[in-house]
Amino acid sequence: MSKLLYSGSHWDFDKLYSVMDACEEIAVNDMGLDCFPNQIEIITVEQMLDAYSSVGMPLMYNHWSFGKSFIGNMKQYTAGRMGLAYELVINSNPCINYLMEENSMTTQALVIAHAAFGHNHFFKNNYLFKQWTSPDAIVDYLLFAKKYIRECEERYGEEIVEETLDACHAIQYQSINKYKRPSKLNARKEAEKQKIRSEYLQSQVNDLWRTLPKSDSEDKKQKTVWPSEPEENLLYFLEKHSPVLQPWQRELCRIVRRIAQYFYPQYQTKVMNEGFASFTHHYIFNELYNQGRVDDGAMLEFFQLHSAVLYQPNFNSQHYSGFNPYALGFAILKDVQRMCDEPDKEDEEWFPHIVGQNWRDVIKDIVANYRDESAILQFLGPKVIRDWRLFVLHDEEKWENYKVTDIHNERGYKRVRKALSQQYVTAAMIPDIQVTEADITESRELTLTHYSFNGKRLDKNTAEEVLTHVQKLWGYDVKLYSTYEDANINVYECKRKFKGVD
Amino acid sequence: MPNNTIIDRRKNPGGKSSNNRQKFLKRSKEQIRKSIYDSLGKRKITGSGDDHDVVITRKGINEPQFGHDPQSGSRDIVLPGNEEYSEGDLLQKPKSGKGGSGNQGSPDGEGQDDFSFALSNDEFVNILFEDLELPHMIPKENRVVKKWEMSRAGYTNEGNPAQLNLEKSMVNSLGRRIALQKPKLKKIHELEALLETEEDEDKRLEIEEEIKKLRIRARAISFIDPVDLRYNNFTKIPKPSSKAVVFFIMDVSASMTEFHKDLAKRFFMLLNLFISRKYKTVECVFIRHHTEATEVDEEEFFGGRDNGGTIVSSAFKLSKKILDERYPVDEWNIYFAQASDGDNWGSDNEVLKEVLYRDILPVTQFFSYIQVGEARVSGGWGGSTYYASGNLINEYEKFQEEKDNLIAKQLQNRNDVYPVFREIFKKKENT
Repeated sequence: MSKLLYSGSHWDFDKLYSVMDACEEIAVNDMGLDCFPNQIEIITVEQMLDAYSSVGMPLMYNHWSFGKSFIGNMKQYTAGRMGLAYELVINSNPCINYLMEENSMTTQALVIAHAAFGHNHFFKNNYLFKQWTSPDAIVDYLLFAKKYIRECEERYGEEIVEETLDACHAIQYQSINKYKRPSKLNARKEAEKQKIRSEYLQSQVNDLWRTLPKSDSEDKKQKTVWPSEPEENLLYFLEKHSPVLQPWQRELCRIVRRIAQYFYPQYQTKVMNEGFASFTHHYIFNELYNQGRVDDGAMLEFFQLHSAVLYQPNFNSQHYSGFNPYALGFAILKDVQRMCDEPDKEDEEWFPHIVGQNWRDVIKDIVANYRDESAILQFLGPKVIRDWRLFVLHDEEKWENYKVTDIHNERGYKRVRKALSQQYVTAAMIPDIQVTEADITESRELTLTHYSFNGKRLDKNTAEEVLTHVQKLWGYDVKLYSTYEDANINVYECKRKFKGVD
Repeated sequence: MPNNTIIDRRKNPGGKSSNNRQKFLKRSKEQIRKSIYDSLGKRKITGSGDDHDVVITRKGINEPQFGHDPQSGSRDIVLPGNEEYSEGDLLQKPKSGKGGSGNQGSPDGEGQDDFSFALSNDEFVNILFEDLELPHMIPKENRVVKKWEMSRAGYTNEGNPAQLNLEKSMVNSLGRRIALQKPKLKKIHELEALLETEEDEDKRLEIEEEIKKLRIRARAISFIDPVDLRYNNFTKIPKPSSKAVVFFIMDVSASMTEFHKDLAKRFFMLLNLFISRKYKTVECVFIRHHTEATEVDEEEFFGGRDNGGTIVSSAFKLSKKILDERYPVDEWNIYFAQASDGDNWGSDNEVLKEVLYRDILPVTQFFSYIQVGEARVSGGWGGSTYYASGNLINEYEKFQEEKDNLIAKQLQNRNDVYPVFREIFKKKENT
């Protein structure tokens, strides 16, 4: 019926447009995806390395650490030790997809299906992205941040700006609101409000120290803890309450935490996002083949690429470095599709609410309403556990050996699933550290508390280094209590350094 | 579909991250400098223009972040690919590091303490020689200059038409016309119009008279006069030579050990790189000597040893010969770098002084003498022990007081080379 979209490996813009249209037809009309408009950008290797190095963002502000990672990536790439991603996609509206110029036509087609429709739909529909990010405003906001930081460098000197950014970067992952929804970004308003806000903030802070208790006899008896509730967002707290920061430094804190917040959904949905994008490119490509719009050669190349991206080495392989999110997500979603279309007895027992449903609806529901942790807990079925031969080791610090607690059998399925889901809990990856007390009446000491997950301790060296950064932002002594089940397991401290003149 | 667009970004200017790269280099400058210095011994003096690999430690370029101690706490690890285990089996824990859980290793890839990367030649040289300058860069005004360059030099009243400067000429013309009150054509036209409508005979005559006067005056004052004309002027200026030759002179008598040569090589290398910054072409002449001097290539220069005594002046006599034959002083900037462990036959010192003062120093931009190895305490002229056979630096220090383009320094060990080099070439505070 329809003609081939392309043949051979060379791509040009006309072919890209026709592939994009063909993919969109399947994505929208068949799968029922709902995407932002796409903006495909063809870039060179150097531009890709560049995007890599600034956390995947165009227009990221300048900082030495991005230079460092560019140099590192370049070195790896030229030594042939690292392949570059075929694409990079930005959660923005329109959705920006970077495609490398050296990709073959089939690679470009795969990438368009993967990113421009798979990731795009995920960004637009997943509840985390909907809640926490502002795809309409992110590019403008980055532009504002870049310009603002450059102006700060000009006005206050590169060194102090760098020092402040270093300190902010050190605690960026502890500067995310996990429960409270942040206000939406708006670059223009940000710029307008920034000046007013900085002046206002400064006056607030001064106020804080001016209102020392006058009648000390009463106050001393019932010394209250301030803040009354722990603050999970360290940079937010420092931005609002640090006694030493300049207004522009408060703005830098704000910029860093807002960008960190923007990425928060990404590392909570790595498996599902990549899994769904892989599922999408797999479905679209097979459809294109069935419609006779790609030839056998293209299909062979597609399978080679697909299986390379979805390669999951076994734990005892030297290539093993954890679960491949593409592979795990794809396996789960593919299994869900199978259970909808061709359920067996086991499925009816395990997933009665899926069996016989339209897989399109079920998968779109998973994409919209789950993150990695919850999706694995809900949808990792016994078949995938068997196929992957998953097993659980239990480790106690004092033990000499790991103990195998569960394997892929009737007894183990549920516990394997639970354990795997736990590996994707945010607190397992990023230590949960909050501001619990700031003694604003006397010593001005700031107290942070680490709420340990499963008794995990902080890495001592990095914790101490990070504390010196916190100390710089707070200006006075900083203490960090590491606690597990209400007991202290460790205390770190960083004292204020007195300078010659004070 | 109108919704989707494809944009070709390949033409966008590259180097977007060069700002970040410069920030990174600035931050790790001290470390890079040290790394460069450590690697100097492995380079060839004459080799440059390639990228330079640099290894620095990660300390100072760390980006600390709160992290978990991977061995701590209790945890369940889920792994794929079980082949033989069933519940209750025990597995040996790996000795260190990787627990096998989901951590993917550091994003920097190497995960070690070293961070290595390549510097471009410009970056390499800039970091190495920041705040240094060549002393005594006296312009060679007095020499016969063979190369000239044309340069703009204001305006003249005479010149050929091709060099006419229209703008200047017209400004002069306008100024002259204003100054001489040349009547405007517009004014005459107005009067003529007035004449048309005027009925009164007397008035008409008056106006006609006026018009006549204006016309005569207008004709007398030319639009452009030869005095207005200005021409672009050019003059020849002498073009400084962009060529330099560096004479490397080294004692290779038996007392020069590998260690001594390594010190000398490091110093020479720095010097050569530094001089290369200032000139387009730099040639190197390698002269080794014991009692007599020979010109050799770089390999041989640092290679084998010869026995015998030392007559330093022989090297300069040969240099003079080479200079006369190949490097005319009006075309070449001449540099000398000499290294020795201090040996010289006592009787040669006078000859040396004479040769240097007469033939070498007057044509040399800069002469550096370095004495490698341990400082010798006493002169011990003609002493019986071998190591007392001279302390050349004493001689050179005397020269140094009299001549301002010569410098002499002692280098005792590797760590001295770069500091001494910087000391010699440090930018002077004045000016």
